[in-house]
Amino acid sequence: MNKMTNLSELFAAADDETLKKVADSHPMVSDTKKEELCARISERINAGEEHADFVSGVEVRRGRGTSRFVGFAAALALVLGGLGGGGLLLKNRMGAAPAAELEDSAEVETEAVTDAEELTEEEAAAIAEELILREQALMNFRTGADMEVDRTSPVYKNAWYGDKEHGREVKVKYYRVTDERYPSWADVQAEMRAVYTEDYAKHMLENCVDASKTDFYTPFFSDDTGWYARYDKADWNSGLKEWDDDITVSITPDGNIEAVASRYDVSTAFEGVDKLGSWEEQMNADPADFPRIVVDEHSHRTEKIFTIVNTDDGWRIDDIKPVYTDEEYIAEAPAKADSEDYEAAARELTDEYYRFIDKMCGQALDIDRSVTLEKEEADEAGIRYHNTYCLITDNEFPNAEAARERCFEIFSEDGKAAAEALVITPDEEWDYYSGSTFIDKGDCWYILEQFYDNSGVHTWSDDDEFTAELTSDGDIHVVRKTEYVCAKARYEETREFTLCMTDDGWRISNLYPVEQKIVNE
Amino acid sequence: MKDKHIKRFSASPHGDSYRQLFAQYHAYALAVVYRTLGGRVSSKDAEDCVVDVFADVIMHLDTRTAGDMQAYIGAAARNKALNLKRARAASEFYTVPEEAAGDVPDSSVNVEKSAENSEILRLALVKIDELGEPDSTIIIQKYFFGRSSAEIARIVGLSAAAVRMRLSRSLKRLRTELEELGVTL
Repeated sequence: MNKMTNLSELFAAADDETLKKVADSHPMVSDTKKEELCARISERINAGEEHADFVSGVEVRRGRGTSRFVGFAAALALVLGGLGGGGLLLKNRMGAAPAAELEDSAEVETEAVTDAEELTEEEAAAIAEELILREQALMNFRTGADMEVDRTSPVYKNAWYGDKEHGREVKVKYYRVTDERYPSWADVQAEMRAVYTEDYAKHMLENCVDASKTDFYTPFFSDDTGWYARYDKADWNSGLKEWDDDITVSITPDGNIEAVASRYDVSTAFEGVDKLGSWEEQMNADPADFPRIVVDEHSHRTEKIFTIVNTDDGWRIDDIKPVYTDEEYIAEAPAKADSEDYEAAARELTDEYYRFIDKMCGQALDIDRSVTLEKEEADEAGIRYHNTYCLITDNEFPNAEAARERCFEIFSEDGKAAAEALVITPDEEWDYYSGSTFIDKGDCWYILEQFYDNSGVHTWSDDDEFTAELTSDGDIHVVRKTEYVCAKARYEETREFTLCMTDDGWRISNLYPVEQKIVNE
Repeated sequence: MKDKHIKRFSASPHGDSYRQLFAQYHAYALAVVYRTLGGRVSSKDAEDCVVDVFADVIMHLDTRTAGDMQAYIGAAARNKALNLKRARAASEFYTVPEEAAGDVPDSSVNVEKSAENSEILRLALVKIDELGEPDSTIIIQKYFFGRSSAEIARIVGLSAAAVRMRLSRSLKRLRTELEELGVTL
């Protein structure tokens, strides 16, 4: 069987041809970014052109060594020559070739205008912009980010929460919608039909759920007193979303308009809301007590393609295709197959945690009691303290460095904190007050015998309580029960873990004991 | 005057050639920059490098000696990236020896090993493509170009956390696929 070190090293050894093939077949930058880079290249070249004008008559040295500065027009001819492999000589800026090119381009431009579609680009851009902005307003309204409601008199509707067998009846809070733009649900539907084609409007309305019935998931409902939005719309929405100004518009061969809009979304959350125990607590909480904060300072880009068609009623959006949106991806996450992956990863990592902790803080570590370091020190009162450290002979951790490295294989950035918590002190720095559990002598290390004797080990079986759930942040929340046996007693111990995905795989980012109760002494 | 030039040339076949040059080689130039800097570069710095490369190429190219355009652009991109690396090292009070900064391939690499690695790489790339999008892009951007999860997230329109999750899952699938072909990662 072939072996290779790792993917990074393999790719680093790729030749230039392979590098180009791979780069060409995988997008490095978006079309918008490409246009931006092209514009910057033009500016750089023309900035040099202006500089040359300003210092005309003075030799300008640029770049490395001697270089000939060419005007933009001649540069293009040069590039043409380079691409074609011909021997095109450098042309003077005022030479015939650039001027000829200018004349040609003027002709092309004229012809281009003559051959233009009936719908001009400007008209298409105006249509697309208007529809996309109206659609944006609808979305911001539907998500609650831009919805006026009356919070002073909420109404509560009975709804069934959960499945038929295990669910329960709950009360869900709704606010009356007082937004003047949409005095009724019918007005929202009318605006949708003015923005979307009939088919797409039906599709979008289906996603709103039928506003005439109420179940736990109904975001809106109407009755004789008005129409209402579920509490989370107004109180816990994801904020206003606004497309960037530079919408790219094109006319397709069949006369439709295709527009691409993009924006950068910064991930936010309501600070402290995760401390609330349940959705009902959140429903009854005051959102003003939970300020919106940025949780991911690296904004991610959302890009969508709008297909706009001409109908009997005018131009309408017929389809919206996202490239890849965060919401779409998170929606995949709770699928059963994925849950099994996470569960397996969570079990494996927490198993590793217990094995590690049983060696660092327990009696799973191999030691040699016949080889010791005796440490003795007197305090200011003259009281002498004596500690015996035993040589660690464990093959998995032959020295302190191995233990520190293992921390980073189990814990996230907190691995460093975990390593420091091991209290490993270099031999020359030891003193009684350092509270060292371990003494590091470089090629070997020692453990405090008293600590070792008082510690125990964890045991577990596949039947022990274990739950792993994917959170909305993409972390795994684990609750796990094990047995802990030490000299003093046997305990039933429950711990909670938060696992996060890092560049190196899953790691434990947080953990805390929930409960430890004695089973027998 | 500037805008007129740009407008005319973008409408003209010759203006298209400038864009064609960029379209044809920008990804390659970016890839060279990322690989030379070993992932320790922001997308902004990498893009600045590429802008400089193409501006310099267009302004200074001497077709009599340019030779192969891809090689020319590759060399220009590598040099720009190395200059950035040296400048950064200088500002961090860290001296990078010229030979270390040069990232010159080791010419003494075992030929047989090199051929084996080429075949493994070919297989890996085929299997990565079969993963589909966005996973193939995520793996390539991560391991081929050394980009961070945050930068990849901007490319594929996901959050950084989602990128990391997808990376983990797709690597697992990739390993399984390659093991069936007798290749282990």
